[in-house]
Amino acid sequence: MTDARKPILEIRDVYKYYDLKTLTFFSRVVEKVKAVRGVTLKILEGETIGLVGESGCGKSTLSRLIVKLEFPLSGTVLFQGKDIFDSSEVDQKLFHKSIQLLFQNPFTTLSPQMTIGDHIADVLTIHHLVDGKTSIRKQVFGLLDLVGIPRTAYDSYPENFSGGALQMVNIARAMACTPKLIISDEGVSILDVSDQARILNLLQNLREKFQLTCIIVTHDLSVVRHICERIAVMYLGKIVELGQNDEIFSTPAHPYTRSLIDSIPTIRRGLEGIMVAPLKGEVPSPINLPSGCTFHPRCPLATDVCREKEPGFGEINEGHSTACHHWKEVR
Amino acid sequence: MDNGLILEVKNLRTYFTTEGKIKKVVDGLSLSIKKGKVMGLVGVSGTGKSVIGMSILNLISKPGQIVGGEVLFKGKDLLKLHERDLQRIRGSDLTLVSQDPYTSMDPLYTVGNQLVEVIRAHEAVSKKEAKEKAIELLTIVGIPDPERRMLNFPHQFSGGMQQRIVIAMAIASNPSLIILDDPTRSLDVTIQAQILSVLSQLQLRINTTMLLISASVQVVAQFADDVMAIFRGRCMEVGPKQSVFKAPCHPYTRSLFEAVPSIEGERVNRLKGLDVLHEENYAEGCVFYTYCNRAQEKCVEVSPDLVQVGENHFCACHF
Repeated sequence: MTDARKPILEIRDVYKYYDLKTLTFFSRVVEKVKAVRGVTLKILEGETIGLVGESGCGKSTLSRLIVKLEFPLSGTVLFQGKDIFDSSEVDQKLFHKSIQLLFQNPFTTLSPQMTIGDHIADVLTIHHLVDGKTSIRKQVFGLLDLVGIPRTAYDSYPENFSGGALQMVNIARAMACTPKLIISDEGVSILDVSDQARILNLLQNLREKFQLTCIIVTHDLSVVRHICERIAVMYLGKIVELGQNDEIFSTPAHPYTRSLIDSIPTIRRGLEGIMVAPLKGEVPSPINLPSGCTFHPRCPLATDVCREKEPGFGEINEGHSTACHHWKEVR
Repeated sequence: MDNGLILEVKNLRTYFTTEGKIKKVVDGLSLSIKKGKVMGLVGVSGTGKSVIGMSILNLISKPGQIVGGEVLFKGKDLLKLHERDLQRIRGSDLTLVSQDPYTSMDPLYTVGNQLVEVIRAHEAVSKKEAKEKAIELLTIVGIPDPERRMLNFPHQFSGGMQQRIVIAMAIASNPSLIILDDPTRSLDVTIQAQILSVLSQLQLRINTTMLLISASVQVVAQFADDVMAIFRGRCMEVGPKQSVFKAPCHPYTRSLFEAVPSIEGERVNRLKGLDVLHEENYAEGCVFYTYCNRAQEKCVEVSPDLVQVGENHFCACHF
């Protein structure tokens, strides 16, 4: 069953390296941090897709590339069919309104010196979205209602609110631009479960109401379990597995995905005394990548071919792709 | 201490005063931990869990103040002790592992140096013996190549490794009680799994008594023996893990479990969070009233006491 929706965002073979200059006694060494190493992904209009991976996998860099906070070394990103890095093709102002990024820390992305209302009003003013007929105040009220924050918050300061409530304010700011795509970059990671649930529910509601496309970037698979249709797993700059939510969880085809699933503590496992099964070792540095398949040093299924040859990313089932020589052996 | 309780907190009250307003962050909290057991303290963020931990260590400073209650550590009330005596206990018999490992270590000294210092502060051993013990501790917590890595500075380790070192420092003095304040908060999920594994192996091996504070219900489910649900600085429910998780009595505890996104079983369309259901009833009544779906008139006025609902299982709800 193929999805009839069109792609709204196309990431094509994007690479991003950062230079790390170290001054040693003998010379200036320039090493490269290989943050993103050839990512290709089509995101369909109206879908909610999860981008999962841990520190150093490149997901945040990828998010920043998508909103043009960074520029790629090579490859490109198409939004609604047009190259976003080509200013003749895409209207920059319209672009920045169309894709909104929700950052990780609600405490540092809101100024303690501005009221909640002013924060949202600011967005309307900067993007010239102030409706001549209704006052700014009324427009802000509309947005507060949309995200479920009481109107009395207008004149309050961020210090009076919890992380969850502040993140909802950030969503209100994002929605003020009537975006087509929202990227939540670890938007719920520092929140507790109750706040996480509220934010994820809100994003779901907004998605249904406005046909929004959502990209949920996180290191926690349990966050994407309920609201993402597709899940892409990243490791050291590449997508290692991509598939439908249910399939990823029931029959993962990459050992790293398997480890991510096994690492999540659950109440059931806790009650039954089953310990989480940790993946050994640490994520290697993106400067000195292991040979062949970069996951091989930590992989329980690694063999010689894994050390020598990097696996290609191929489809194993309709809509399910993986980059692993031994994908059939993944439980 | 003859009742087997390493820690007994009685009616603890810690209030914070800002701009003339008093916030009762911890208001009448009692808990007890038996030797060798792990007590898990769960609750949403901002409910005073960390403040409870700090109060037990008697480390509350302005604008906060411990205004009442007792904290009996092996029978001695820590709130009545002189600072000098407290310093002897803290860091040796009662240690803390906090959220951010980097701030628990001195950036200017090597990891080996810091460990040796802790060991020698509590045992009359030579530098060589202390070094050997340090290597042993680093091995227990899973630091690979400990002899070499002892010479590294804290910033040369990743977050997960730093947290392991902090745990090593916390057990170096063979403490009677370790307080862990959300130790895996800032860590990636596979690293969190490694730390939880280290902690549970430690539990099995040296049978430490622990107070584990966490906003994550699942983390607490992993290895706490008893669980207490905290809301606004008060105990809503407490009991053995199996009892509380299988038959939660308090609506708050239930909502905590329902909010956890499960990776097993069917996908749910909507997760359950804490929704504001009623007007705030600030002064009187049950602290959970505003969010409670079972609330009735009595709840607005009368604050419920803890009632026994099962073996060692108590709940603070009128119903």
